[in-house]
Amino acid sequence: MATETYDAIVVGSGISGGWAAKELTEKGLNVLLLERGKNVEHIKDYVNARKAPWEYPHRGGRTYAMEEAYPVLKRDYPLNEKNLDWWASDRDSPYTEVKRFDWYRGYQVGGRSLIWGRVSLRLSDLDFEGNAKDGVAVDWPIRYADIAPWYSHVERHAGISGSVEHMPQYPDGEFMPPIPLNCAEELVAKRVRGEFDGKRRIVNARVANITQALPGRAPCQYRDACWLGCPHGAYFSTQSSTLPAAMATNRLTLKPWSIVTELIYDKDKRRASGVRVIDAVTETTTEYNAKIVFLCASALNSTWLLMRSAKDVWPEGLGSSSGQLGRNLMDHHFRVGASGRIDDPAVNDKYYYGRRPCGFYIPRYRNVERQDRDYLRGFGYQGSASRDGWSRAVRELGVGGEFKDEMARPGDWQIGATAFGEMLPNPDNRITIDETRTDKWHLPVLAIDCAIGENEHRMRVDMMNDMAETLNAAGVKDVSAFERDYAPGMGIHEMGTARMGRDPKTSVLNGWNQVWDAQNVFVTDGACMTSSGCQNPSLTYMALTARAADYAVNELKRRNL
Amino acid sequence: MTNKNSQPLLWTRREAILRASAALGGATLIGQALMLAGCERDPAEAPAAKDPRDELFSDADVALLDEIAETILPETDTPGAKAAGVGPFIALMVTDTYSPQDQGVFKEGLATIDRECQQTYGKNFVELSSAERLGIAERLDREQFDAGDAVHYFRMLKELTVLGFFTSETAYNEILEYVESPGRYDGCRELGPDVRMLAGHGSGPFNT
Repeated sequence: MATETYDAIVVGSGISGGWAAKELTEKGLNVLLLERGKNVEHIKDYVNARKAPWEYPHRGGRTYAMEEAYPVLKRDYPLNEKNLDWWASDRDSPYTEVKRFDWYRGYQVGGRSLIWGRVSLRLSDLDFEGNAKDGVAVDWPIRYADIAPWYSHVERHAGISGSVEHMPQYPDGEFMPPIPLNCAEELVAKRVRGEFDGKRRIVNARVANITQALPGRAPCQYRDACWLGCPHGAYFSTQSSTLPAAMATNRLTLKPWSIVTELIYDKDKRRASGVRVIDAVTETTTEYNAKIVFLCASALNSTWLLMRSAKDVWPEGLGSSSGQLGRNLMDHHFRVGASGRIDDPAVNDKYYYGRRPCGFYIPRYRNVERQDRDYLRGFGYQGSASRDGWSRAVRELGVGGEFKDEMARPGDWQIGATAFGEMLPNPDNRITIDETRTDKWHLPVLAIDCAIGENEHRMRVDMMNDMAETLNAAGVKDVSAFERDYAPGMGIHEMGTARMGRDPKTSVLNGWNQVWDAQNVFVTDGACMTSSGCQNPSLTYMALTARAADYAVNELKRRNL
Repeated sequence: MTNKNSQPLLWTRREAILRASAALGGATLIGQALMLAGCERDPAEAPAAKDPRDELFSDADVALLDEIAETILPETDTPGAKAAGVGPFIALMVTDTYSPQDQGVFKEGLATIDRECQQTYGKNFVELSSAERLGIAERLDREQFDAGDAVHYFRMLKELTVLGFFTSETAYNEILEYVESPGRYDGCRELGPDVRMLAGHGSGPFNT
């Protein structure tokens, strides 16, 4: 068995892993970046990026054969004809749903950074202090001041566009000029600001779509085709941003098709000596050694790896001495909000040009200044206004030439938003290894047991009614609120299962994302989250990863690792 | 106004696909995330393995589909559905994406149309004049509209006609404003009579 040795091994090449690779290589380490799936080369492999919409036989939709092949993915929008190659196969990688959990995965170089929603928001001390104040779960071991410089660090390189708002619960950052609101959104935003005293505020989305050039990357061309891969590199992905930086150091080795099956744990030294890997194609096993290991395999898979490691010492795996490994799984609950029609002389003869890759955002305003709702925490909204398109022809009565010509004209202005709510950590929401089932590579799969609780259900009442109230107050017509079925996982924001904390008895990771029981192992993806906030979490993973990488390299230099 | 049972909840699967981002304002993440609400199929609907030789539609069926689609969205001073190849598109979509139950409803619907044409005019649909075809289509459109959420074959025909037409190369070139790479965003321009409806490129499955 061949054994190669590196300074650091990074498991997973998505948003977190790409950052780990960049930071560690730039700080002088020789890094092995392991990715379980195929390689995807920047631009060259974005095979559908320029494809015309009519070139897809089913115009982008889903066939019966696809639905059979993807029993999970078909539950929501990801099952489609356009970028199916970037969603993991449900058949190759099954899992057990003790309760329904929609797990939408991206198993390729770049992971879900190729297909993410790109909303990039900082957490604030409202979030970092929440658990301690509310007596929920355990306290975060860090505060906003600990992570703020790292948010700045990653924002500058990733390229985040957005507006400065001076709201303490929605901290400002290093932003490129925002992607504009359209005039209907401006109109509603102005009224909402007046009606709600500036507390409810429609702001430009903060997104990882650049509005100014960065090295090797052009600004957004307003194609709104991000999920096909951007030929301009205008949105942040591993491929557009972190991987080229890491490659430029000549200290990165990237190995696709490498499924890490466990960490090799040295119980005498109380550290990992490396990882065991099977080749996804040939199924041969290899071991790699390193001084430090960064687990960035996505929340559930990083925890799966810990659970499979050091079992001779801890039967439940590395990090399980706290009893918290696998517990406190979180997502953001959503699919609830309101929409309506804008009929106003100020915009009735107005339209727009170009296709934005984003809409607007409404930062959290509930339970901010004081706790005054019948639930803890809060939610933000994502939405947009646009003119109705041709799809309205289906619901309107009419056939014939006049009807056709009318439907070919831009329709009425519509506006709508859906809330993304915080989900409290609950130890009963957990993952375990299901030893009775295996995946394509004969590896045991995860069992997921997760549901939203009373706090989330109470919050959803506000999430729905508030949006209707907000739109009505702004003079929007025909407002209708909606609540659609939500199952955990649909937010594609899996968090928790290896939380950070201050005490090894109640947490898996310390304040530097080190596993308490193996301090040369760092977990910096969503698994580390102690609470979920209501903000889209990827920017926080980037910042925590960069912070942990800096700490790890300093500790290596001090010979503490 | 905050009715939990308001319209969006009532979307059928196919309508949800088509309506997509319309009510939610544009082809953003939001529209995509919500567009396929309630798209779980009944496992009983699972299709039997298809024999590729077992064609669902004959050439005559496809010709009929072309004419029905052309009646729904006819040539005006711009091309109509037939020129955009909507008939073959409908046949493909019903074959590849519909459940066996929906396929049955659809095929039975086609037979119903010809039966009604025979009863009223003593001719098949394709033999009728444009005015006669339009009369039939208007009546069936009213019928499907009044059926609300109930499955109706003419709703299927209309959905697939609209989808096939407005995502066709013909519509993209001659009816919509399609710019693959706009290069800029203007959030406020005049909507003059000559301004065409913007077409999507990559957002969501159908660029609605």
